[in-house]
Amino acid sequence: MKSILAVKNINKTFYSDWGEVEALRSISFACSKGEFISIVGPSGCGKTTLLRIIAGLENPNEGEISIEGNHAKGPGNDRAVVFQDPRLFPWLTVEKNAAFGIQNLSKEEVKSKLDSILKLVGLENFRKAFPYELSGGMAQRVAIARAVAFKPKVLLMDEPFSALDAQTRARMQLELVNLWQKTGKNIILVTHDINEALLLSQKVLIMSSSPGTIKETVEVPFSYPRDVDTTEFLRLKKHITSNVF
Amino acid sequence: MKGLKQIMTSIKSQTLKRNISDISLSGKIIRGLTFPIIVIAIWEVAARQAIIDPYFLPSPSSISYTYIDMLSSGLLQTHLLTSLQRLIYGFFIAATIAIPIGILVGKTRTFRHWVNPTLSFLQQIPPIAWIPIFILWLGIDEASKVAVIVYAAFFPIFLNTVQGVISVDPKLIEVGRSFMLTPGEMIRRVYIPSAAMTIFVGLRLGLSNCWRALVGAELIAASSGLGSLIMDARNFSQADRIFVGIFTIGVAGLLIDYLLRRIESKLMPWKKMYQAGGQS
Ligand SMILES: Nc1ncnc2c1ncn2[C@@H]1O[C@H](COP(=O)(O)OP(=O)(O)O)[C@@H](O)[C@H]1O
Ligand SMILES: [Mg+2]
Repeated sequence: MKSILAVKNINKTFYSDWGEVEALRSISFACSKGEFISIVGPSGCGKTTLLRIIAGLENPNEGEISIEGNHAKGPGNDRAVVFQDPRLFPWLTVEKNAAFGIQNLSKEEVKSKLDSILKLVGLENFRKAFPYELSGGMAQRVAIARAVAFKPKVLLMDEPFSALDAQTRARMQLELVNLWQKTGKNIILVTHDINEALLLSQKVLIMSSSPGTIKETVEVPFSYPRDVDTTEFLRLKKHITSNVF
Repeated sequence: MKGLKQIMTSIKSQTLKRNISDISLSGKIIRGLTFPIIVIAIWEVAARQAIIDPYFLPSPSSISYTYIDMLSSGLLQTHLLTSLQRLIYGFFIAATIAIPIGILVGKTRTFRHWVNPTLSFLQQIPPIAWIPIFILWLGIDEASKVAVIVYAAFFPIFLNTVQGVISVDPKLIEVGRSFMLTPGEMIRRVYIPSAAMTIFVGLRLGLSNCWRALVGAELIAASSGLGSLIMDARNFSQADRIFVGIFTIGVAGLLIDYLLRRIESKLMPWKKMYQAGGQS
């Protein structure tokens, strides 16, 4: 199987006036085509830093990211980020926010693309709304639409549902699996919610902190849609829980 | 569907809020007008009882007759238009210089260090103080007056643009970066819209600064414009004309600011959310 994304031996230390923090140590993993990977770990273990390095928003001290075998330095068309907060542009409507990253398309093409993507995230009736008129869940869906519309090979998500209420989160999780299956994109999802990781992804990377390392990689063999109450699911969850905390 | 309902109720509660503030707005207008009306009434009575000498302070009614006279002869409009024309020239020149430079300076920290002290110094000098030298350099005609206005508008626009660019949310800049914006696109699609509100504050300040500086310049040296109208009236000891000039300056200033506010809310409909807490 050919790997889309390869993370090779990443080290990252932050230097500041009051000292240094070793955030990541020798992180390596690969993501094969169409794979949905999640990264779990306690708060402060370096998940966001790792995702930002993959996104090209932060430089590692050592190691490299490659996409389809090519060294990736800085941000690229092949990756798009959904941040922890929606980060919408307050002066743009929902559709213009969603279209923010679209390049080199005619008006009609943009429109048809937006139609399908906004439908996918269930916002087709809110095209003209401004961010301040949206609930947190809707705003995060616009952020997801914006990232998907960019047509990246890899979708990077940093705890995208953590600010949502339980009900909305559950619905968005289903929608994300739906979107992944429809678009066939690679997804890397950072979360501190083990249940979420097991519900959504095919592989879970478990991180530990100080410095952040990958402690274990767990394959999730269940088919979709997943049932959280089976004994296998619960056993895996228990295994990971005892590993993370 | 549930989401739609939520939005509807939130929109409803917003309009409700707006209505409440409308009521207080009309209340504000009434309260705001009460004081001048009382003053004018007392003034009128005092003038009719001949308590004050009309040579120094003509009665409001006689001022309004003069006002109507000057309007019907077209004299007032001519002077007003001359002043407005200068204002518009100067203001647009100032804005086209100040905004690009402001963006540049705001984006470049080192540049800021180089120019800040100089700017702080220049900012202390009232525009009127430059009039003599501008006249020496540019002559007594339009150019010197426009130069004063450009100077008067420059700093508020420039400084607010810099401030607006400095306070662009770094998180949004990062979004721009992750979507591979070129430097030009970054300025056009992230910096300028982010800073737009602050820049507009600068434009409004700049325009009212302009207006005041312009009238000042016209008082000192001009053969047309509202300032010169007032000066002429003084030479002929026509207090009523002076008051008509002053009144027109004030009202025109208010209308200009109102116009700019309207443009602002048309251009930036998303601004509403920031205004929820009420405004100055
Ligand atoms: N820009 C930065 N400067 C200094 N230290 C940082 C910076 N970003 C993250 N860190 C540190 O790196 C560690 C990992 O942070 P982060 O990646 O945000 O963890 P997580 O997302 O897993 O909660 C933390 O100790 C944090 O304080
Ligand atoms: Mg984080």
